[in-house]
Amino acid sequence: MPISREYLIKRLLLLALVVVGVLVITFVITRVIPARPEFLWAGPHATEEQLKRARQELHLDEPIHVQLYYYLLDFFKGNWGVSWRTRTPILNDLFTALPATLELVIIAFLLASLIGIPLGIYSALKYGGLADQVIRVLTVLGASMPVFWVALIFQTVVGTWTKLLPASGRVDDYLAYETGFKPVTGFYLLDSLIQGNLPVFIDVLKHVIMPALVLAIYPLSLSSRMSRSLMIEVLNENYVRSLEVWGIPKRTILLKYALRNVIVPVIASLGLSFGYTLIGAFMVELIFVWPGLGYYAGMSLLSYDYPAIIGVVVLVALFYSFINLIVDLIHAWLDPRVRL
Amino acid sequence: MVALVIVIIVGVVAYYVVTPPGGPTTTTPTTTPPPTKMIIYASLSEMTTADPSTEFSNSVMWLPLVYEPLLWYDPITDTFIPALATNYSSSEDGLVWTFTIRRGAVFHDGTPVTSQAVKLSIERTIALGQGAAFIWDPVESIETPDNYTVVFRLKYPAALDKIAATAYAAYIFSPKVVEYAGASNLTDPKVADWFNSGKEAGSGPYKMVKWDPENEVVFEKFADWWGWRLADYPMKSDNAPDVFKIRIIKDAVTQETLLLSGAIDIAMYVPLENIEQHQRNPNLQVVFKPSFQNLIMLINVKKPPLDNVLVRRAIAHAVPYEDIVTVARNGLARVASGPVPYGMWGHFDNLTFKYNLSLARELLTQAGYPSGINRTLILTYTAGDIYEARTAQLIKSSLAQLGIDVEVRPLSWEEQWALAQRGWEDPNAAQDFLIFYWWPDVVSPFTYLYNMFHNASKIFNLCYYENPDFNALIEEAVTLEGIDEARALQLYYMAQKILHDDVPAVPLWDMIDLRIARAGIGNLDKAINPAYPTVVFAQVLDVRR
Amino acid sequence: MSEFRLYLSLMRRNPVYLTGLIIVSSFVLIGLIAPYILTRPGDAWGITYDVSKRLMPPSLEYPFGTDEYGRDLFNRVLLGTRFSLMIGVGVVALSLAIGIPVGLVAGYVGGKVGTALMRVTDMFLAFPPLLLAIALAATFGRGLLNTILALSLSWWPWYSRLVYLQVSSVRNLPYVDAARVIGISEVRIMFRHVLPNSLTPVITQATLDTGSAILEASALSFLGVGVPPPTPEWGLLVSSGWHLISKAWWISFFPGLALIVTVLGFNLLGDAVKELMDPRLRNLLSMRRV
Repeated sequence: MPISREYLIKRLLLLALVVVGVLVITFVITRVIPARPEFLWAGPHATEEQLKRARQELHLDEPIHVQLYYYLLDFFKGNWGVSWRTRTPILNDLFTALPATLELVIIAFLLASLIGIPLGIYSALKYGGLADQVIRVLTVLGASMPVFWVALIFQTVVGTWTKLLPASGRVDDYLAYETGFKPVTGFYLLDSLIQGNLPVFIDVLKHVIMPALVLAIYPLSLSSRMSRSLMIEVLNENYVRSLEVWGIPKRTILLKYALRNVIVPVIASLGLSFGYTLIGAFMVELIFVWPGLGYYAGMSLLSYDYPAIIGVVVLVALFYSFINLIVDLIHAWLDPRVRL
Repeated sequence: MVALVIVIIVGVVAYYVVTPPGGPTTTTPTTTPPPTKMIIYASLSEMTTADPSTEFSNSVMWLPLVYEPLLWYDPITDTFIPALATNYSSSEDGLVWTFTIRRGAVFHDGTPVTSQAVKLSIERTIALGQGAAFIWDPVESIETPDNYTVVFRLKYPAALDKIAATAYAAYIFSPKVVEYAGASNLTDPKVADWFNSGKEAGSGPYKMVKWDPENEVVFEKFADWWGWRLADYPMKSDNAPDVFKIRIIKDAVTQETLLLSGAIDIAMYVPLENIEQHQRNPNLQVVFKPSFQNLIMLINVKKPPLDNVLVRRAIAHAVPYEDIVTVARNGLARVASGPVPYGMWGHFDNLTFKYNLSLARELLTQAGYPSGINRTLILTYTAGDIYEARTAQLIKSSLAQLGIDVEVRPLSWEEQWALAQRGWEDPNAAQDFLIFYWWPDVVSPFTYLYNMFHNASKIFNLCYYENPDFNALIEEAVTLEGIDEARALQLYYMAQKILHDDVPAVPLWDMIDLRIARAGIGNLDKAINPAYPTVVFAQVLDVRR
Repeated sequence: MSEFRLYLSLMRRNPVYLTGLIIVSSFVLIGLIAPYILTRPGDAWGITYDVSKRLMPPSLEYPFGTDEYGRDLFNRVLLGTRFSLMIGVGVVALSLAIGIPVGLVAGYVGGKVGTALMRVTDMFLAFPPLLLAIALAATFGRGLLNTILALSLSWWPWYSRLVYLQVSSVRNLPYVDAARVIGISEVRIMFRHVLPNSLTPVITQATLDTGSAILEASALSFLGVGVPPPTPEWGLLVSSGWHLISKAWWISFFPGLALIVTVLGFNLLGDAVKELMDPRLRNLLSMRRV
């Protein structure tokens, strides 16, 4: 179903509005609420002079709308402030960390969808039976577990006690150094393949599998539950019953009609799932020492590096909105019922 | 059908997972690089600046690998080891010191180390006046009668050999940095910017090849270092690592995890509860060394009711020192006796406070607070440090029994320090208690006593203590250090007695340093020196992989 | 009345749902009486400590073991129930208090005002769950009230949106028009007729969200921006055991277990209620012969 130009433009405008909204909200959080914001912004060992300069730079003595203007301007110019711990701009730090997180989140998300959705559909087909019950209990359990706890338990049992998989990190530094591995895209799995470096590829795989699995548990449970209830709905639709009555074989019904109507809303709901995965990544990265945005955010929180925390929050929020837009567009494209 | 495909995929993956890397099916690259010996050392904090003149913080961890001072100091044996100076002498009145510069020492850019380089480096440090530049205060002038002799003339007697061996502000670098930085002279800010962009101009055993101060800093062996060629030089090893990496890992648990998995080789911060376990692990080694780092709780002496000395004394008797050492450091510390740490000249064992809650209550009642203090006192510490966190919790619990409510607030060091700085204008705006570590620049009691308690030291005297008698005592003591040690010691004792009576701060514990490393690394004990905190002298390590 | 009977039959048929109900009721009960049934209240509140009893594994005397201060973990987890209850109820209540009025006004008044309010809501929804709460919590500082506030400020948009959708559809129903024709004031209509009929799904959702609120609060505490030590909040307890996990696994393990059981209870209950509410599934239920 082609997407009309008007719809696309409308959505992009909406995205722009959301971006501004996110920035306004963080502006309120960082400038309006704290009593002396320049303390939150001034660098290490801030002298009286530096504090004065901070006040100037942040335009703190001017009316709020002027401050807001400069705040927005700064963000769009790419001046997201400087982390207290380094002298480097936060935006640079974030872009260095981003590919690591993407690698982890994408793998986790793939695992969650490729396992969760079929599981949910299967469960719906076997409605009321033992398989259904077991799957439902497992997925409800999965949706109730705190990801940080699961991560700790897995890491301790699989990594530290039994040493089946590496307990932390992204790659073995020695191996990388000895085989001359150089990150190009930032996606180590891709980079190692591009460079034909099989040992590092396998090593990275070994490092990524545990955090990805742990991270996948919540969205997996979520998508399983969602697919299940959607599938049940579809199976009870009158048209499906009619098809049954007319004698069309079950398999055809499933593949040609039911599935199509389930996949689309499930994909639409993956957006929310993605949000939870992102946040789960914060804690998983922290525990597994995976050097992505989550690790950066976690360490910033640990040292109360305030500008860095806000930087991460803004980036993740923007990224999330963007992904949601994509998901909505895909949904609209796939679903003939949506009028654009 | 689908199941079959899945089984095949799982089988293939499992095969690769089980096969170790570099196993039979992997093709080795055609040009195998020679096995480089690399050591990775974990740092709890990010690296700060890279300017050898002004750096006064975390970068001390690597400066002694890339740069060299005139001398190294070993406080345990109280001896000096020649670095860029092969020998030295001082006049009888302690006002003229002459150093002979080593021939054959070169900077990493190839230029030889001469007395002019020494003079210019130290003069730049003095001129910039930042960081630990104050250690050169006694110096009146520096002369270079020839290429390999440096003569220091002092305004007043001082132990210049100790000063020249300091971990900060005593490094020699190539004067050519002016050229490299495109600056007009050494004090031009462009030079500092050049350093801080990740460049170095040292003469030490390692060159800096990567500067990512928040994540990792990497060093490679400098082949032309004079030390490698000296057969019996104590501070070098023939099997020193080719590559030394410092990785920033901001959390003790993570450091431990990475150490156990072999991802790093040396760690300084691991959960202390696990030390016994690690000592029994044949793959690891644990080395203990006395440290001159101690933890002190500064009290805001200008904010009521803490301006009442009886209240402060009460608090000093209400801190559970032994329990803190047990819980916070798992026993790996000594209860502090005065602000000068154990093992350092100038430390005295009779300056402790007894943990005695009834005495504390008496003192509080005398002060006029029989049922406690009715406002919540704020205690700040540096976020992320579990030892400080636990110490704070125990202090809070204990003071609660006196009716004193303490709010424990972890802050980043920047915030904590900024908050405390406000106390100079308005004591009521700052916190009540500040817990932090101190460690020495020059190995002398003066650094502890001056920085934290002399009222001219606005940066770290965060108890806002002002006592002219105390000031006079330590000012005299430091000048006598090079000449009349006995008298200096006496004065230091009297100064610390004043602190013990006035209680502007409560010293908590003296740290015992440790490093945990994988077992195959030799000479680790030699590579640690309390005068150079957090440093592992990589050039001394014996690594066979 | 038949609703209730249907509900009972559902429970009877499905022991899993019954479990959910039992868990939630126990949780609420324990949460309410916890401070009064502690055997070692000093340990639970974090006032006392005993260095000689540090890091002891679970035993009869200390069913969940002791932590690094020598405090009894079982008591602390028990008291933690109280804090989780307070947080869960607090967050949900406050979110409703903000979200309902916004959604009500937006849905009822409609037009430019409604759209504007909904755009604001959308902006808040642009943040992935918990992210905004982290930013707010980092600004406010640690504390029980701050945590509740931070979470509520990131949660209210969901309810606002729900109410908006409900109200928009209800306000066009014939009986509302009739009320207008009779002359009842708009405000009265809004509060006495439209609102009560819009609230059912919201209230249901809210009670079930309690479990998620507890989970998110524990995540905040784990990250160090939730409640301060020595509060025995479950997430904080898990993080306090992080450093010792390979040697003293019980410190992180049991509080995590408590979290799982509690949240599981709420999720199961939620499933039960959803199944109850859904007319199609109800048909299935009443038709199936077990």
